[in-house]
Amino acid sequence: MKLTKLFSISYLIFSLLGVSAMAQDPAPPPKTVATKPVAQRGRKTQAILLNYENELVTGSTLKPDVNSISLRKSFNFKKIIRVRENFMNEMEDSVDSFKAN
Amino acid sequence: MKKILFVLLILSLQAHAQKSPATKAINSAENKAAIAVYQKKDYKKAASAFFKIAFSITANSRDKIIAKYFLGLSLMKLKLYQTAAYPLMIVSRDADSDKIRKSAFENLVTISDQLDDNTLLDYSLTNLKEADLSGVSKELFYSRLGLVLKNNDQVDEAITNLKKVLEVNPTNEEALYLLGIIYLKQNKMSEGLNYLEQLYDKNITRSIRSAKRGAAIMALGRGYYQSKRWADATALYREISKDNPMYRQAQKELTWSLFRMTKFRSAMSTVQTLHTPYYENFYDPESLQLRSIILLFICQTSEVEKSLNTFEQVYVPTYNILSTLNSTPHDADFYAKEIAEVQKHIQLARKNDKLKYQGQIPLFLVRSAMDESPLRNKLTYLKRIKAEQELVRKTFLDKAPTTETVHKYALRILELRVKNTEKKAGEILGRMLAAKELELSQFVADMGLLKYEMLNAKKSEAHTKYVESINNVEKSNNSDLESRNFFTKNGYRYWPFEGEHWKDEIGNYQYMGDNRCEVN
Repeated sequence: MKLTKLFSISYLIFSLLGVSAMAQDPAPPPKTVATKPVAQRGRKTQAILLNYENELVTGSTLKPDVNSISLRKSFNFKKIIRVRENFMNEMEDSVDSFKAN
Repeated sequence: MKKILFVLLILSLQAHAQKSPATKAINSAENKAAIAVYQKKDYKKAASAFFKIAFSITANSRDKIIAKYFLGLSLMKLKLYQTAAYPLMIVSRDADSDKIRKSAFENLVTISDQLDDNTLLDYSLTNLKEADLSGVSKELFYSRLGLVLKNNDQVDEAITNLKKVLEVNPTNEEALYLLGIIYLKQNKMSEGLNYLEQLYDKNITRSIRSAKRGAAIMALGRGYYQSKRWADATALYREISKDNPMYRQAQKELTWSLFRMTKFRSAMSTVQTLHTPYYENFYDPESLQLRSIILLFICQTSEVEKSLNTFEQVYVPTYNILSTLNSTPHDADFYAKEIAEVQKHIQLARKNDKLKYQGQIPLFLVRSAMDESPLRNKLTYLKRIKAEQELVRKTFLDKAPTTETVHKYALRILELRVKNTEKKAGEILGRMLAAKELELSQFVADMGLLKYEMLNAKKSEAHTKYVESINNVEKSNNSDLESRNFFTKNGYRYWPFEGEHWKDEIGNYQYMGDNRCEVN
């Protein structure tokens, strides 16, 4: 029983010591450049400047497709519109107009 | 006893031999009497007499053949060509004498030319040798052969035969026209135009309203169009007068010529004639398409939209009706009834009687098909048969013949011909409607593409306007507008009529619109 008491007390002491050992180091503060404090009415405030020179920023622009069509000036009528090259069908139909009676 | 029997046998044989020549002599005498009546030019009486001999039981076959031959000739003299063809065909098939057979075939050639019956003509000509042909028959023989060879794409043989026609008759119009077509198809423009110019020269002196004159002018105009001689084609199309049956077609082809010459304003003037209420009962999607194309070329996008909407309202439902109709099989009688319904409606419309059209096929579609060559020819043939029926009734004057007479015989033949011809006309209409469906599907696709181009043009106009409104800082000085108190829409003139037309309006439109395309 004595041993048990002794063991539990020592366990408690050691665990508290471990907690303090396992605690993280506090995060390092961001790099700041010391600036002149900006004086305001009745209060002193400091301006913070953040530097992202070492950070990679990616971006892109979106172009609408309509613009590419609006740039086209001339109509491509040759392929779309069927232009009559002859009236051969009508001529074939009119053969009977010249039959002798 | 044996000797007596032998003598009796010989005597009986002699008596029989005497009887046949007597019978022969009597029937030949009847024929001779009928021929005498024929030579006195009493063809009605002669026809009745020959009919009795031709279909009698007692006459021998030779006399029957002669009687049928002269029956055919008598009926030809009475201008009953359809009826005359039947006995002559029997003679051409059954006669022993080559002379009579040849003569029967020659008369059949004449009849088929009168009736414009290609089947009968082909039958007659295939049974005649070239050496047996007389002048007129030779011309028809080579002309028919040339046409058949041309349709079978045997071009060189067709040219040879058609040139033989011109050797017999240098002014044969059919041969000149066919040679023109053949050479144009082969892209031999100068030879083709040479023949069409001869045809033109032959017909230009006819009356202005003559259909043949119009056809000759159109033929040469089409030849110039194909040769890309737009100005010459335009001048010829303008020669067609307003009351010529070919005026509507001439206006359409004139529009194409002017379009190809880039004379858009003149082209719009002519195409507007085709869209007056006067022509609203004609099936003509091509003119609507052409109007849309010209308006697109001059950047009148709002007007293009109107033409496209008209097409969608008129021709797209027509296409749907046609495709539904053609998807289910119909017999020739169905189409024959549709033709009869349209003819009835047209006749009543001419008398200003209002009757609701009850056909299943749109009226303007059947009406336009009836104006086209295969169906038009068949309906003309039918009209001739019905006219011959009337002529038979007037010639023989029997109200209801009870005995078998020429009258009854003729009416029976003609009734059968009417039924067969109506059925044939129905078959032709069925085939034409299938072709129209295919043609209309192509127009629907083309108009879809034009709609795309129209929307594209509208978008670029809107873009231009927007840019201009941003760039224009100063307002234009339009002080003169404030003094006017009325305005008309651009491209129109104030005119007090609405929905009417005047005869002198047709063909006299002047398009006043502008070319709104951007000038770079």
